[in-house]
Amino acid sequence: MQNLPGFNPRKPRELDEPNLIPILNLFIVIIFFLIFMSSFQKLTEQALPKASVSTQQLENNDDVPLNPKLIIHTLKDETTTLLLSWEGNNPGSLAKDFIINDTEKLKEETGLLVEEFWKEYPEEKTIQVGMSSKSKLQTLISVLDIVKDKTPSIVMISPEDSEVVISLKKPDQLIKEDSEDNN
Amino acid sequence: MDILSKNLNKSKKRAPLALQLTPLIDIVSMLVIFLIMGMFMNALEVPIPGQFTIPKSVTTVAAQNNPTITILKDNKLNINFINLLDVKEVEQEILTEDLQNQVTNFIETLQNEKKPTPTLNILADASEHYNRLYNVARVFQELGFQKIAFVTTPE
Repeated sequence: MQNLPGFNPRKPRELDEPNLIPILNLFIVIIFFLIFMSSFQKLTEQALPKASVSTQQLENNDDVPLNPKLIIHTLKDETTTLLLSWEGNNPGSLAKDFIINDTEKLKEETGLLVEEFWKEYPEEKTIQVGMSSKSKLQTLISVLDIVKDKTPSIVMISPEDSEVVISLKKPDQLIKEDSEDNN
Repeated sequence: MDILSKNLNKSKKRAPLALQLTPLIDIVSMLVIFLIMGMFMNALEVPIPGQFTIPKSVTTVAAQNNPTITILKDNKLNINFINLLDVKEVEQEILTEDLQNQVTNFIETLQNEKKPTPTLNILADASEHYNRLYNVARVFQELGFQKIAFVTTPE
């Protein structure tokens, strides 16, 4: 194609571009610093379901256990008593003594105890969980892991109430604890 | 001589400035993706004190970004929901009247806006004693929190 006279094809103009490479390098360094400074951890939650309280008078039914309480009582030597007691027309209790080695052992023992209770009372959907004052949070979480699936309503009871239940059902445990404290 | 003067007078035409937009757009699009992901994740944002061992649990329910109390080892509580810019530390179980009023106002404001009272997250060390946990839970339950959750990590 021939150019018209006086109209020479112009060379494309060279553009002065800002040098973005150092800026991008800077961004990358900042991102690395941010990642190193912040630690991300996957967090889950173990929720205590809202307790459902019924004011309705219970019928005289032998099969209904009243106020089932699961108490975890730990001594200083890590000897642990698991006690599941209930009231009603047919009151009863199940207990187990063992030494906590790890949370798996605790879960296993708790599972066996509550399974025995649920076998007898499969319709029971409420449980009160209490621990001695020096018991640890990890123990509570491990117990909740086992209990929560089958009981939608869990109530935490105070350490003082837990001690009362233990003293009624297993008074020897408190005597042992007193002697440990004196030593 | 002529050639020299000719070269000296010959000035280059200045090209107009133009911004190279492609890498900038790349960065902005990355930021947009991160912001959108962050908006939907609703993860719990809470500073975890050093030397803190979070209890382990089999639960897979992700912790929600709810009001959180951290039970610190030196008999103090860290309350993050009253004023996020001014995280409060108080002595355990001794909530001042002012602080109690602020907690109550926080819950009342939600109720006035017809929002449900959120679950209260309790973050504590795995070796924390039950009596402290129980006392903290009881104090905040009496102030109006109906549901409580312990922050854990997956096993």
